[in-house]
Amino acid sequence: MMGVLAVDNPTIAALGLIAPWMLLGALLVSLPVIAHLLNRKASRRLVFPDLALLRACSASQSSLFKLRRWIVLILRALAVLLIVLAFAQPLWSDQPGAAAQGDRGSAVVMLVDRSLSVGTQGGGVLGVEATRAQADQVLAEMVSGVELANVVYADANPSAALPSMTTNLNVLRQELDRLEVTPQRADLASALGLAGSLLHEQTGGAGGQLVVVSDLQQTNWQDLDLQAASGKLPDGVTVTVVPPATPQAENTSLSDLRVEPATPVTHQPVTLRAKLNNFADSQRVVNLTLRIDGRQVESRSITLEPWQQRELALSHRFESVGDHRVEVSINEDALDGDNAAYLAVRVYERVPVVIIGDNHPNESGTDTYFLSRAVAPRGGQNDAHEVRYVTSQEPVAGQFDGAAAVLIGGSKQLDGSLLTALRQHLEAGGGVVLFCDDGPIRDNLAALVNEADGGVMPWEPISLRDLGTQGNWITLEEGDWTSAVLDAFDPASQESLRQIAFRRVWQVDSPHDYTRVLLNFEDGSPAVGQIPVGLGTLVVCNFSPALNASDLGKYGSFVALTHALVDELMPQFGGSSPVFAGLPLTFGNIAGYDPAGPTPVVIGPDGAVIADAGIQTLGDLPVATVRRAEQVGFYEVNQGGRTLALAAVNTDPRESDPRRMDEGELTRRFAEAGTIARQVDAQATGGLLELRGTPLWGWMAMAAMALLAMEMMVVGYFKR
Amino acid sequence: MSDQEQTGSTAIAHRYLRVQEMARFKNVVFSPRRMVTGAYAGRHASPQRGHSVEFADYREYAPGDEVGDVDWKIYGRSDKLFIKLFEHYSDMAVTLLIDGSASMHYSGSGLAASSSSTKRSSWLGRAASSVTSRVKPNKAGGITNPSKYDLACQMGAAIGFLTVKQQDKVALALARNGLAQYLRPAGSISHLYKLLNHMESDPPSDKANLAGTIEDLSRRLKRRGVIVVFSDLEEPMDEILRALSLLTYRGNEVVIFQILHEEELKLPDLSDAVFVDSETGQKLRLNVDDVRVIYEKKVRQRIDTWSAALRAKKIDHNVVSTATPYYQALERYLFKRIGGG
Repeated sequence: MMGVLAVDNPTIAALGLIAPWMLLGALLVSLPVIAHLLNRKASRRLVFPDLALLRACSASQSSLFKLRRWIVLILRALAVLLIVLAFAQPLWSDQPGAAAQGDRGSAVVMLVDRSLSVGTQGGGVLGVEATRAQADQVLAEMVSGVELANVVYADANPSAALPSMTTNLNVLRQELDRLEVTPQRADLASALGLAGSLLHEQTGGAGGQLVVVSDLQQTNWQDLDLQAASGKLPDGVTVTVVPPATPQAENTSLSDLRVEPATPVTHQPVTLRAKLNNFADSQRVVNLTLRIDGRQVESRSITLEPWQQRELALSHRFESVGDHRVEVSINEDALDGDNAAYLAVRVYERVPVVIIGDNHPNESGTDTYFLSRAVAPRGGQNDAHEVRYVTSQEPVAGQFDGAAAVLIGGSKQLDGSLLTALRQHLEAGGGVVLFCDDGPIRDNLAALVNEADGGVMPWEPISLRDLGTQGNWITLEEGDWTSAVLDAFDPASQESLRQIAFRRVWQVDSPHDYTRVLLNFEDGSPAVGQIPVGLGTLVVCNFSPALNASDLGKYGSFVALTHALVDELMPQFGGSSPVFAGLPLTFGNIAGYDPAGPTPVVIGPDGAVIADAGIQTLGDLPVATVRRAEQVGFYEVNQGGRTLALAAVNTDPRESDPRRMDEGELTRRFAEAGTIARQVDAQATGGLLELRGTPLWGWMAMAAMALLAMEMMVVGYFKR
Repeated sequence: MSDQEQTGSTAIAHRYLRVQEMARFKNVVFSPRRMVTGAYAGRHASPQRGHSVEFADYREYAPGDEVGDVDWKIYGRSDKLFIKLFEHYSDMAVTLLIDGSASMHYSGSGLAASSSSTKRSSWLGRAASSVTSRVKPNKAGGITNPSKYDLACQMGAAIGFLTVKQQDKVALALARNGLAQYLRPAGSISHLYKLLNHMESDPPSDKANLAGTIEDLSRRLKRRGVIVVFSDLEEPMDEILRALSLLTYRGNEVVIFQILHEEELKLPDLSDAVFVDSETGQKLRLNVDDVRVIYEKKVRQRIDTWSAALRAKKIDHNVVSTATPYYQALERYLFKRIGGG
């Protein structure tokens, strides 16, 4: 059944004409009139021998006989008018202004959803096939060579099938024939914006048709700000929501694969965690397989209750240093794209700790000197941590990947790129410890918490106090000994901390509500505090381990305090940062790069070199970037056959939820956003478009033929 | 003497008479069914009795009989008075009475009659002619699509020719507002030619007043003869019948050829037309298809009524369609007449 379900209030019906100049053909109505007049004149006059008998018979004449010429004239004239009207291609519309839009109304942009969820198989039909069929049906309702159309593919990076609107609908059909589902999530806001810009170009900012062909996935549409998105559409645009033709399917998926701890070292037991989701009303049993570097290491069956999201934990021990490919998969179901999760894990021999300082680590008495010895007191392979050194002005690329913590001891202004990398490290869950000395502490602190964008500092630094002679130096007094950082300090250790004297300390304002003060000076002012930044933690110390600032570096308590901070700040979960299909992918953790070697390349999951991947160097450090990671799986930076870096790209877990948004609700929201919203039946065989209205020429041609048939019947009747 | 007379009868070629078409009637004698009285001896039975002819019978003398007719020899042998009777044969006068009214001028609309009605009107073929149903143009006598008057003249000329050829006399009466023309009986070819010229020179017009014409004619006819009437009989039946009674009462034999155009029998193939009465000029707009069936039914009833009425008066009634060549219609009638039908 074809049905156009009215969403807006009933409106005034209007008739539009595609080819109004054809109405000149109405002059042809003069032909039956002329024929009528000629026939009237041409009535045969017959001199007959005797009229007596004929007169006696005249009473049996049909009463319609006298009107027959008028009846025939009316039938012929109506038939001619209807044929002329049919050639003028009339369209009927119940939408205001649609009929009056003329050519502007004939501009149609189809927003075709090709996100991962469209690949769901429902009712034995692939969603993408149904989507293609519906899109073809929309094109079938258009007149090639006359009406303008284009297709916007909605995925992570919406694009138009053609650079501009076209009347060559065959080209669009060929484009649609190549329609394939992507493993990406649809950026509907951008897609609507692109559709709007296409319509704007064609319609001058008023009118046009937008046809949404989508599976109406709830996670995609529910939170979309349609008010904002519709604002990019032309005024008076008609939005037609074509609901999915396939029924909602049941699905199971894997997502959020991660490793714990985030920075695994060799021979250390790690836990691989993933989320297993059952989007179904029934219990499901899935077969799960874990592969490490392509080798199956574990397989098990897992039972999932209806609509259960289950946390999965798999134990493993990496035996070698370097990047490892972790893949967890389940058996096939309605949506195959989300049945595997990928994780690139870089395994270290020791946990890296980054120290940022402008002094050489071997320069005695400096903050870098004391920090390096606190992190790696044995100064070699026997230490638990591996120290990386970065200066405040040094370009940073991938130096923080896998780092348990970043310790900033320098006193200079931190470089902008360094600050950016530190913020990203914090946002991703990393930990940073800032030791404050006589540098631009406030600027560095504000930059780390991104104060400009609403970040809050743990406290406002006021001034650096230099307490002069040693007798005036200040010591630590109180501590939050139950905190995760300090709970390892027993009373003896606490007393040891209290023995440390500080010459230069920062006087600060009251701590922010979000700040947890770990240690106080004896005057009650904060000495150490932590505040969350993103998923990570920033620890601020109002002192420096440098010899000219305190006696801190001389004490073994400092080593304990440093290790406690590193252990606490180490990210709990990790691997590479989650990257979803369709988004940019950056390799910052390139290791073993040989500047003299061949140019590194990026190899995609299919084993092909990604041509548009950008390889550049920041200082001595190479950085590889893939503009869009179109596929899911593992990407690697390869130099001469050696893997320098590995990254995993997964599907967005929101694409796995097959629940749909009610098309009526979506249509209503489009209407509330100021568009002329239409909702059509999913099984409609016509009427998907309202190109100035419903085509009437077929009906008119049929009516004209019916009138001509009636005319022949009338003429035959009177002639019989 | 005209050229036609000089060259003999076989040289006659007239609009209404072609002698070569008369060859088919060379063995046919147009004889009266009743006794006729003529001025001269002839081949036809006559009620007259004479002396110079063959003996027929005796009868007893009755007062009033001529005494000279008594057979005295019989009287001598039987002492009774008998009259001797003799057979008498006389010649015949055939009067051709042709309706010269305007309605006889009708030669058709120029359209073929309805084919559908042709199929339905098979009765007409039985009543008039086997050729009728073919609706084939009649070209007999060199006249294409003859009018009713033409057909009447053609038939009249043929009968006149047969009559003259068998040494009888033929007369012509033309009915137009009464007896418009009357040419006395004569038996010469020149007389026949004269008749033919009169037929041709007097085109039909006005009304016929056939009844009045017959009455007038009956007063003019002094002897018994054969009166052949050619008319469409588009006048009141009772008046005509009453007039015909005058003729039959006086011992005349009357033969009527009712001449009708094919389109009078089957209306022309028109969807509609304005019909104009040929005699009165009155108009009538008709959807022909609407009235065709009932019209044909009424025509048939009218013809049947005429046939019944004339048969009751022992008058031959023949319906002839203009679609039928005159010689076929005449031939059929003559053979029927010979057969006693």
